[in-house]
Amino acid sequence: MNRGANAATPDSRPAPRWLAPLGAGALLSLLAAQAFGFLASPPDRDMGHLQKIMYVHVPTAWVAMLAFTLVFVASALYLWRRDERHDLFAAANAEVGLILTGLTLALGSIWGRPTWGVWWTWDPRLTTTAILFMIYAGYLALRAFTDDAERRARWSAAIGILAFLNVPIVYMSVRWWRTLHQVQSSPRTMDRTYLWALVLNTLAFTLLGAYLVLRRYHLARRERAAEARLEEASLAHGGVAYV
Amino acid sequence: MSEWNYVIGAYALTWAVLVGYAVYLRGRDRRALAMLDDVSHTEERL
Repeated sequence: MNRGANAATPDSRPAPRWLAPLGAGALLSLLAAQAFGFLASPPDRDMGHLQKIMYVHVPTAWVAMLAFTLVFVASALYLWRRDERHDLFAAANAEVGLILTGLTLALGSIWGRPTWGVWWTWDPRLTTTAILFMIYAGYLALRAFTDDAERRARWSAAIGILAFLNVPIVYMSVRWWRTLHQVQSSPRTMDRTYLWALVLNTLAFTLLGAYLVLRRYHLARRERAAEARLEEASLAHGGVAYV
Repeated sequence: MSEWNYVIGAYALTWAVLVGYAVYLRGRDRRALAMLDDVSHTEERL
């Protein structure tokens, strides 16, 4: 058996029992947080009811950044330990992060149309986020087109580390190049009702993000187990000895 | 267009993406299980 991607044997065990309750809890938390946001927060002086879009736009951006940070950590761990579980965990985070980044861009666009008068503008925050989206789409494309598991994991880890360089750039873009997108709000400058709604929605999205990543990770392990057993079966069928 | 249309559109899109991804994961999980079953049958035959 070769070193690297196969160092930790993939398994086909079902996802842990606590995963379904975690998903149900995340779903209920999100419903409750969104209900609180809708019912408790009054229209904003400047944005009116459009402010409620912030309760989905900001949390999705936060969870996406968190997921990309975990891609970076898991990629570094993979290169250090060569444990396939780190590679699969990084990939699960990249996929969830990519979906949430796409959603963040779309929600920002929906908010921007009535507020700024345009669906899209080449503002530094929007542009760096779009670049972030394309980088992680490339990361997943690379994984999809690389058959050799060990090579796929090694290349993905390198890209997972390099891609993270853009995350602080996205975060700081509103401070470095002050243009249309507002800078991050501070709890000191926000009304408590808005703050609570934002915090509750962020917590609920974080819980949901954790559920989706873990679900995706266990799915990836199951797929790898099937892939590995298929390879072994075909080698045995061809009369090729394997260890 | 009323600002409520944008708000409802944003929340509808959010739920559509989240539910769509959960359904996608479920389908892919079933395919992975079926693939494992197939491999087990192949191994038994060999």
